[in-house]
Amino acid sequence: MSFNLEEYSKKINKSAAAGKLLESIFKYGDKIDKDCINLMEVCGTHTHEIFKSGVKALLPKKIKLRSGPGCPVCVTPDSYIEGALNLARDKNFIITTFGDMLKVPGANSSLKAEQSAGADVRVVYSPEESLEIASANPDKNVVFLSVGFETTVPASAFLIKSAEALKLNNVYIYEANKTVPEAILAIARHPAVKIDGFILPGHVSVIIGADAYKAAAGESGIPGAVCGFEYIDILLGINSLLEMIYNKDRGIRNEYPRVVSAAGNLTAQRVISEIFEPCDAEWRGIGVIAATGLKLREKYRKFSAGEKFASVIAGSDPRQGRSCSESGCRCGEILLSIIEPPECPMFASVCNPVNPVGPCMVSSEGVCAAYYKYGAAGAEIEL
Amino acid sequence: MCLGIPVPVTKILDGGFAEVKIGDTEKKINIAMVPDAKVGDYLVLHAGFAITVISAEEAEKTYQMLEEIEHGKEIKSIFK
Amino acid sequence: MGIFSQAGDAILEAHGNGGKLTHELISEVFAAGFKNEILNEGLDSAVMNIGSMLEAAKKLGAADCGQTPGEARLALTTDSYVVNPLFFNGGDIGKLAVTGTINDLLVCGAVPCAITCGFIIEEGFKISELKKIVASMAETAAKNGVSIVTGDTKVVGRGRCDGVYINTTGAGLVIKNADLKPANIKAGDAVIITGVPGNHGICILNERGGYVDKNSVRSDCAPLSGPLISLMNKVKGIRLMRDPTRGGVATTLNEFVKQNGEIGIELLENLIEYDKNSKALADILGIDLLYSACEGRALIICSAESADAAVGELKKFEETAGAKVIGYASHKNKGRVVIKTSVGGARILDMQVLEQFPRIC
Repeated sequence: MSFNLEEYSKKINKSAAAGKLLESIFKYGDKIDKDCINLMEVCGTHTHEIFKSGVKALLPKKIKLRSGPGCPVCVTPDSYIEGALNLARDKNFIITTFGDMLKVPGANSSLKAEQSAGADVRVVYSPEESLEIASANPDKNVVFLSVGFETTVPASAFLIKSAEALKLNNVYIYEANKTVPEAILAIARHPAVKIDGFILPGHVSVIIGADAYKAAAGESGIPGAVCGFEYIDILLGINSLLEMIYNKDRGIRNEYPRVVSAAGNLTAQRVISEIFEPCDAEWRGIGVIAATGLKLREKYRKFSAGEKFASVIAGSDPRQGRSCSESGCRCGEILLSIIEPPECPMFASVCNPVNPVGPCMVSSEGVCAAYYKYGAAGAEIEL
Repeated sequence: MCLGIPVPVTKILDGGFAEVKIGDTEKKINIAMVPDAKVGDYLVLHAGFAITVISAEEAEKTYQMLEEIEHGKEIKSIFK
Repeated sequence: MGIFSQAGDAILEAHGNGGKLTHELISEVFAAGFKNEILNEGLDSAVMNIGSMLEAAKKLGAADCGQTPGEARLALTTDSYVVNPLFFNGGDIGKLAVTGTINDLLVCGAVPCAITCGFIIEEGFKISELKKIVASMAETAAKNGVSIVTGDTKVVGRGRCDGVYINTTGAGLVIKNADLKPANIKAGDAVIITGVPGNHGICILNERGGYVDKNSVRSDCAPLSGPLISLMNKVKGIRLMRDPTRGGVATTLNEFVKQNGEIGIELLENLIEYDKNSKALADILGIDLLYSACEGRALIICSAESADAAVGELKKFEETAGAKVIGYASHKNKGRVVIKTSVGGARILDMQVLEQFPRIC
């Protein structure tokens, strides 16, 4: 059957079905015997899309959308940022990075600031661009800032495979990738976090499969719905989640089956485990969560910038790297949805996109950035 | 955490790459994760890589379900 | 040709010191390129006769800027151009400089008459490239009845500027009875855009990043003399116009509501159209075209009753063939720009804070 996506998108984005889904969401809202239903948007892209599509402004007030730590830039620790800045400042390095990292604030600089001051920092669309840059600059070390969840990890894995195949000896990655399912379980177990349902990330799930969350859902008793990004997908996901909450269902539902399967992309999973192995990881503001990081396997450790250039990364100033608690940044509580950005005293005053105290205010997926950009959760818009 | 955009395949290239249509022009992307992709398929593109093929069959089921919702049938989850 | 030919194709520091090389540069590149009597007088200032300017304005779109010099109102604008790369699909820094200046005058209801330009040139920049830029400026100016009447040249050391920076001042005469300002906007007024937004910004991003074939995404750089003078002559009820350059449509509309203070603006997502290739690339990179610069578009606020006539008039011209209403001024959401989305919800469209970069999240 010949499938035309443009036609299909026009077909499914129909306001009439959306209206019925909203009615259903309101009905469940009334039926569920709680004052407040907390749904966690694990993925930062969902936070932004829910605002951007205008869905946020339409939901019943009882439903609270809580943002989770699904912004890989936001959860990258301060020490990593400082390390990246130290590498950037060193003339022997060319830093390649996704644009998302550029404005993240370090103690007193950012990659963008270093770039303006003459550092060779290059925004890439795909990590593979690092290969050409390395070939063209044999006297420099090209370090790719490997940040991202499972959707993005394969890209770094393929970079390493290609570097190996091309016998390039000046390509590295500075590891900071993280994984989602264990993090969800850690959030669910956290005593201060009260979540009734998880809106699960659509594209991470493409890689890991909807079944990957079953253990977390089973143990925590909190249901989850894998959700797409069109507004109709978001409404389908929220409706499904409310149905599960109402029925006290502890399962996982895949509401994005045109793209997500139960098992995920096995080719992608294979390449990830070929190149990387799990390790513990530090989540900014939250602390160490076991088995949520990825590091290069022994065979590929030679590509690790973290190991090879540890001294450059550590830098010469022992005072560098201001922790969250020193700066007053409450990103940890925000990433766990314990508070919302407007509850942080620095929000939109001291901390703003031009002078961000933490990455949540500048990351394209950052929850503080979303709240800043779209106003106070859309509640004030007169429709 | 992920900007994933659907793009149609116009040509399969050697070495695990394909050309996809971006507007009226083509771009070369990496399809190592979707080795069975063929011309006409829609891929989800993220950071220069295709992460999956969009299933036309599942897409149609989703659409049918939305049609039913629109016409007042009881809303069921897509999930079975 | 004197010292010039011996100097080769590179700009030297001496070209900026006011001496022989400067004079040769002026005569062989700038005066030769911009060709007009006022420039040829070689004075430190361009002396212009207001009466002659009035006559010239009349010839250009039959605009009435006053019958006597006493009735004339002078519009002045200034701008600096630092675009990188200097040459891009759809234009170059020279075309951009003249276009931007012309459009800044037009949106205030003024008929552009004369432009000054100051060049800051990096030592080592190729004279042959400079000639291309000058030719582009001369062509754009001539097509729009504008003269480049005076200028300045400085040369800075290598690395102190990106090749060339251009600063302009534009002078024009304001069409009689034109009274365009944010305070004029009333609830119910229509918001018109003259074409699809954001092409220039995404074109420059693509020129720098090479994401797709450079021929597929094109800057919208274009002067709007024909359509905007005609609009001002033929349609009443135009409240305000502005060209949405840096920060795009979103930022400019936010300027309107902040400067007015009494109204909000509501855009309808379903009404906004985009260039197919620009949108496809913007989607891949995670860029919002409503924040991406335009260099050949105007945002026009007019009374609801005049909207049809305004769009009809604009559509007669190639540069504004894509004109359409995309929203309305409203009593609601005062001081804000809100966009009503396809699902029937809404979100706030804030002013741009920082420039957009390609993203994966």
